[in-house]
Amino acid sequence: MIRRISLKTRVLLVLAAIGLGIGIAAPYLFPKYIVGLISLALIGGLFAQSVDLLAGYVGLVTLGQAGISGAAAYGVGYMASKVGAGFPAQIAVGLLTGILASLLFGLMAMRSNDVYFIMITLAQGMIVWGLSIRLYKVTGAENGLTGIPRPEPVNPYWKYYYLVLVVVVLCWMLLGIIVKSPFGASLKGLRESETRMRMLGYNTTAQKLYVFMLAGFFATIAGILLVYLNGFISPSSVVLAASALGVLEAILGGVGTLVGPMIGAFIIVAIQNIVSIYVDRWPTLMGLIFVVVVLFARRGLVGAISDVWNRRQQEVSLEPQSAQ
Amino acid sequence: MRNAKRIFAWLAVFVMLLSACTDPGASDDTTTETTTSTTAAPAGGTTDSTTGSSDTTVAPFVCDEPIRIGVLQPLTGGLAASGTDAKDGFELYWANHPMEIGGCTVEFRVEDTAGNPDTALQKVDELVDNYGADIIVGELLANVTAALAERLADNPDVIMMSPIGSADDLTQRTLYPNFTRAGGWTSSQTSHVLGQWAFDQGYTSAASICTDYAFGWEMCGGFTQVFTEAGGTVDPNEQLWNPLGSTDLGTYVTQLDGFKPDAVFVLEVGASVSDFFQNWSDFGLKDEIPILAGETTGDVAYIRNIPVDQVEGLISSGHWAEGRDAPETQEFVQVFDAATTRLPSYYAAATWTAAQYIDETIRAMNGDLSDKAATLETMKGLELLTPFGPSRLDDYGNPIYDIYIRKAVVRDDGRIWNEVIETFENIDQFWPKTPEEYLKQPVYSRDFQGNAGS
Amino acid sequence: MTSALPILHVDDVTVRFGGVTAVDGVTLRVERGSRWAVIGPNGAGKTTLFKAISGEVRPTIGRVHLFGADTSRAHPNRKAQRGLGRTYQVSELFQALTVEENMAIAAQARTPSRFHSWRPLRIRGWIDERITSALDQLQISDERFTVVSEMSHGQQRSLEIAIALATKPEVLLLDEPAAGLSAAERRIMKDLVESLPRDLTIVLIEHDMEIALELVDRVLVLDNGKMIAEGNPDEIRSNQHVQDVYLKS
Repeated sequence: MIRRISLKTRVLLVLAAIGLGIGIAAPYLFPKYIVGLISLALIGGLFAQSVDLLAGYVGLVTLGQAGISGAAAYGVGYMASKVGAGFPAQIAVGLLTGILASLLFGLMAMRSNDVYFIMITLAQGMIVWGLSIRLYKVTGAENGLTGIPRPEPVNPYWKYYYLVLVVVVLCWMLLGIIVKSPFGASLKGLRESETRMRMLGYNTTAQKLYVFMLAGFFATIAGILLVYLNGFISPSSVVLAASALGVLEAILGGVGTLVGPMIGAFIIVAIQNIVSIYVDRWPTLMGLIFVVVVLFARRGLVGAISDVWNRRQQEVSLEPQSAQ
Repeated sequence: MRNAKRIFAWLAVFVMLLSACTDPGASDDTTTETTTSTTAAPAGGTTDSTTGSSDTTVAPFVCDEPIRIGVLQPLTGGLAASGTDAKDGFELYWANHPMEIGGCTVEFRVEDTAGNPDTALQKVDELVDNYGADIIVGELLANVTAALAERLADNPDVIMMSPIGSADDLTQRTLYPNFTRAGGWTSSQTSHVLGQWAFDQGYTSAASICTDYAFGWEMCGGFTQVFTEAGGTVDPNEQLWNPLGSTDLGTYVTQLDGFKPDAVFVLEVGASVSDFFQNWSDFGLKDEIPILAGETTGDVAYIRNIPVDQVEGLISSGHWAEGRDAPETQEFVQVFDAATTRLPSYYAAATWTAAQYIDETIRAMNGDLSDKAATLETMKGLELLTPFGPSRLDDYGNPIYDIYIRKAVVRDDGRIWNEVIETFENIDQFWPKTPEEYLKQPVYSRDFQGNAGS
Repeated sequence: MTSALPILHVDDVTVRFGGVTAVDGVTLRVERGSRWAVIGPNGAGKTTLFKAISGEVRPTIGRVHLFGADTSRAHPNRKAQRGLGRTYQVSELFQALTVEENMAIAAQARTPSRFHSWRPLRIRGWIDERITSALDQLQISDERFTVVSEMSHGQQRSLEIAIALATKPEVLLLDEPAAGLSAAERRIMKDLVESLPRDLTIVLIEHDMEIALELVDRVLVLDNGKMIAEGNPDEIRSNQHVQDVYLKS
């Protein structure tokens, strides 16, 4: 039993080391645009992780997360392109708008569950989208905000890539601690039975607000990273599809895990940007993959792989010990 | 975990919806390949006529590498039909012209943006950094075009051409050094002319209904300013703005009826176009109040899908008129119709013309596009006879050409198209003002429509 | 602490849902350390009374005093924080988690650490002791690392109580602890409940009158939301009205 766990841990450690190694070497291995895509996937993965913190760990599926990351991105974009403020002010305002949005939306959504939570967050995303279209003096409406340069020290694409890598890995580690923390355990309880949690003494409303804001914080970070990556923010970043993509990436990779959403994001970015060069109907392909995953691997790719792994380990461990 | 099943069920439904939404326009039965990067000259040296003379073999052509063109258009999503027209126009040009120019090979690759600026930005990086594109041609949407132009602005190794995306400021107040609109237009350019024409018809008051976004503001503003400065009146309260994507315009139509204007300027896009004409004719207004349509609303891409009785006789203005009776136009129309069984929209004419500009520029540069600034200067010096008619570029990189007042007419074969009823020659983007005068005013917006006297 | 003030005082509580009166003027004074049973046929209002006590529903009329304070309008989590525990007739367990995780969530519920998110949860020290002792108490220590959904029904019923115990309640409401168990398992469950610490105040609902009467000092009998009898087990056994109600059902 103990040895089996450690084997699994060892395999995971090796995989993580390989992943990190490729991550660090990427600018030396790949052309510029691939490095750009990896940056995009890392940011998308962080965004999907923030969605999964709600969807996978608490069972609250949000369809408005892009509203929060978008609010942060617009905060940065407004300060950069309309006000012409310096980077500290840009980032401060971005953090502020993102966190403010998650506080407001959290207060609105904290008393709901299930489908009602989905509907409320959907509406929240639509509010941000609506504002991004209507407030054209602030947001530039459909044209969006352009002219958002990266801070000078990380301006070259590969330096920015390393910044993204470091921030995303740090956030990942933070998320890893959160989900394993006492609070993280209580989130799983919330997912399983809110009635019981309340009867045990948990203020589930406060719990939901807190986790909503935590998720919002990570979405905010993702939004800020994205706006500097693209140098551009427009309503297309806050549409429903952008929020839904986070959910779909989490499902594809495996809800209730942190590595799952990241894998999901890499797959989606690859389909959108690389497969689409060769396959005409790539959105259909994407839809098909989702349907197949939802139907046949409900716990996503990570869940499917770990199921196969566990089954194999059981077979292995059963054979020599059958005498016992 | 009891909820998990329910949530998954919901998500499964949602996934289906999403994938249905982003499904490529299923109606486009034309082409199956995305990448057409042929190195050998296709279809031999068949026809080479439309562009005129200029096959000089005097100066030696220098080509170490093929000349690569990246085309970005929305081939999936809600704009797939128009994007496919654009793609077909570009591909058909090169299918009918040699891709070997004086020993230099031309290659191109068309990629799908899905109409999403973020996707387009990723794709353009790929085209520039990986594919090695010398020229980027794109996109259909103004906002995506603006994002692309911004992204490429400080890249001196690429020329950005926008034959469709028409945001005014790209060739006005926000100039980028490597940007040109060869083959394209600015939004207000064609509606300026319509404003003058409307006044010439004796209309003294007009109302408007336009989609509430930058393109709508610019189209509407162009009409409103020229019409009112000529002497007409447009009450700002009688300028209606409907949200992008509205599909029940009935209330707007009743309001317009209540204003009792001499004419109504209309600029709708997407699904709103057919909805507007449906309502307009349901309320019995077709023969009551004349409609003056902005270029895209009257484009054959839209009106061919609307019941003929609702749009026959529709007046619109445009730089494109597929029914224009001139060989340079009709040759293209026939080539496109033969290949796709559709009458070409302005999207198709635009990319065809962009390709023609590229072709002629390569010839004029003897195949050496390494100096992009010089290449762009050369392009600006060209005077071409295109499917749009005679075309040249102004100092800002925007075409100067004839603008047509068009009337939707049913052809002998039953299909509807736009014929020219009046031509305004040599119209630039500032007409009737001078550039200096024009650029003093802000870009058109909801708040600035240039209404004189209000 | 044998004060005059009861630890739980249900004072003339009525609960109405629309036109239906589920609990009708029930009064209950539970002294610290005592054991009570609320019995009655199905639909008598037993569970609704529990919900009124726990705060899951609010009394339409009347008051609920817990630990000497008026908690009539307090939310369940507030009451739980004060030391009220409650189990469910249909198990409300965290099915996808292990027994230990279930217990850990419960054990930290009344401590500040429940909101700690920046350090990992470690099962050691007091939290480990609490989990171990509650599991031992209910004799399910062997299942510590089992996922709840893989446990037998009987074990889940035990865990239901163990979870409530892990919060260290002073008053424990047991909603049919033996629900769905076989006759043999019922006897085991009876013994388990009997062995709970004597200083823990217990109110239990039990459909099986025999088990209930063996476990408690005082009994409240409900029928159609109304109190029809109150007394010690012997009095209830000999009460003709109660017998009629039970025979009828």
